[in-house]
Amino acid sequence: MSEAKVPKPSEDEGLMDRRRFVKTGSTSLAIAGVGACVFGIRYLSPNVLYEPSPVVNVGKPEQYRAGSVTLDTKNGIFVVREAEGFYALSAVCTHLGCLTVYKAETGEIACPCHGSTFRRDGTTIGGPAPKALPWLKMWLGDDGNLQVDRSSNVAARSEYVQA
Amino acid sequence: MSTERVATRQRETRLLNPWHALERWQTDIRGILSARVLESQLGFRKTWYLGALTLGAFTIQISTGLLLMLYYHPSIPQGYADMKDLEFVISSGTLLRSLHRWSAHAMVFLVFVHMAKAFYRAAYRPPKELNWVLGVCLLLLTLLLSYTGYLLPWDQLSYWGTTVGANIMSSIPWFGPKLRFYMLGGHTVNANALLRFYVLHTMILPLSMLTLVSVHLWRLHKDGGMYEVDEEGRPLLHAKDARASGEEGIALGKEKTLSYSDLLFREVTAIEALAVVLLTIALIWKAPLEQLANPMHTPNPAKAPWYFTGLQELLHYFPPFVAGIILPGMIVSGLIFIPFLPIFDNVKTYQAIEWFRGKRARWTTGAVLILVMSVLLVRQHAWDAVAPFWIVVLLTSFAAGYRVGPINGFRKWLREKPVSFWIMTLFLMEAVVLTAVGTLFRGPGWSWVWPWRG
Repeated sequence: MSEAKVPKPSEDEGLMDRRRFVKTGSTSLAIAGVGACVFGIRYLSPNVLYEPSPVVNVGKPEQYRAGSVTLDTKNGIFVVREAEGFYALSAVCTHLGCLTVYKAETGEIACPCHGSTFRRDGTTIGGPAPKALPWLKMWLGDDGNLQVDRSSNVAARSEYVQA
Repeated sequence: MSTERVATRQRETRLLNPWHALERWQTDIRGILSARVLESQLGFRKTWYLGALTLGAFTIQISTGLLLMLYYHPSIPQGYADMKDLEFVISSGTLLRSLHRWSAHAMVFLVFVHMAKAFYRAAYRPPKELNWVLGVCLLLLTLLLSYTGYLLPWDQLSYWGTTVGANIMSSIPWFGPKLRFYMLGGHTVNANALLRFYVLHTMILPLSMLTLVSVHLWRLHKDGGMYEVDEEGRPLLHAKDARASGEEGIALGKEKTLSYSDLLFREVTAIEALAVVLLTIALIWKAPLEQLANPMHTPNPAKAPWYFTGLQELLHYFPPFVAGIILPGMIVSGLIFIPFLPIFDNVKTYQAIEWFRGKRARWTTGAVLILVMSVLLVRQHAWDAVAPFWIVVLLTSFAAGYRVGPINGFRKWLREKPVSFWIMTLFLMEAVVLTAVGTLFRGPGWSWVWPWRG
């Protein structure tokens, strides 16, 4: 049987032939799938987070000795008291997020994961850390306690808190 | 289907003995393996049964994993308490967890060796390209399964390993932090992250793995079984044998034996031996469990499991985006593409490229190697990453130096190797050296220590 003798259903009866049906069907399914992904991706991002507040209370200024660097182990920040006043440093290493510690014997802040070291003002000394430890916004609250906002950075050496 | 034929089919179905149905089904299932296999390919030395062993390790993972799921709650701190329960309260709990851990390590190791072995046998050449790419995907899935499973015990190492991994993700320019947020379901490694990793580890990744493993096995059969070449470098495949007619076909037929009696028996024996070894290891050494995850204290040193210490060593030298994204990305795309690029490996003619003949090729390679080594040494002081480059330079100059000594034996063998061989060898040596240094010679603050000094 040659092909000329078989009329295509689409020409004959205005119906869709099989090939076109499969093509149209799979294309529309693909478009629907991509659309679902584009609009559904928001589902993966939670709108409410049950994470601790970024603003923390680090206590009375008197508890910090002059010239001291104190790691607040509850909140992951360093409270530093210099002659100019107080400031707060994030203790989270700028390399890959490990928690750094202050070494009193060398006066350096060191990261245990990949060996980065920082000065007490946060600037880098060595190791793979790309940036200095950021200074965090700090102020003296009405109740006389020092407050730190862990979510907002300030420029280094720009603000000291007097107490 | 006409009414008459439907009626006949129904009559047949009614009359069918259930045992006959099972028998027919079994015949179909047997189609997964080639019916006959060359007797010369059965020996241990040909494949080391690595594919079967990897599959065996995966089977152990599925069965122990399902059992562990009966007692594990993906929440904080219950997940950690469940680990303690497995250890102290539940019968055989420690054994199952240890078996799951050591079998995971074995699987990573076996997948790596399987890949290297397949590469050196040139089993990526047509018609096996698709199976090679699938194999690379399976390697990635294995590593992802290890990484996601690592968080679930919620101990110190889990927490910090995942924190570092998530921060590598956020080092990608522009959309990195967003990606990290989607991966963790929050800003920190927390309850959401644990649940996400649990779903990935127990549903999404194992199901993808099962699917790809099935395709991998099916293609192995369809592409003619194990890849071997004859004296002229042409592949010796079942597909080709099947077409061979006359005396050649009869001769090949005589060298063949039944897959189901001989090959399957050997492979099952190998898997059983692996199971015995892993069970012994699990009985002797307990899977480690650190203290409960503490986001406010990083252990020192915070070490990844051995298969990621090579990456950790790179992270010590390079910025996270380079060490964690660019280099692994280059390795994976290299594994996928190098076999297909004719400048590395002449796929069409099945001949290795004798690239040592070209003066320009030699000079270019030498210049590239010296440039890379200088950058590594002068800029990063990464002397351990430089060592494999030196070995490759020494070996290639030994093979290429045509004026010194006779060219035979080992030297001739080296000279016939294509560029892809050298790239793969360099990659494997880097992997071994960096992993060894990261695992054995790094201590607190990632400083150099000697392992025998406590």
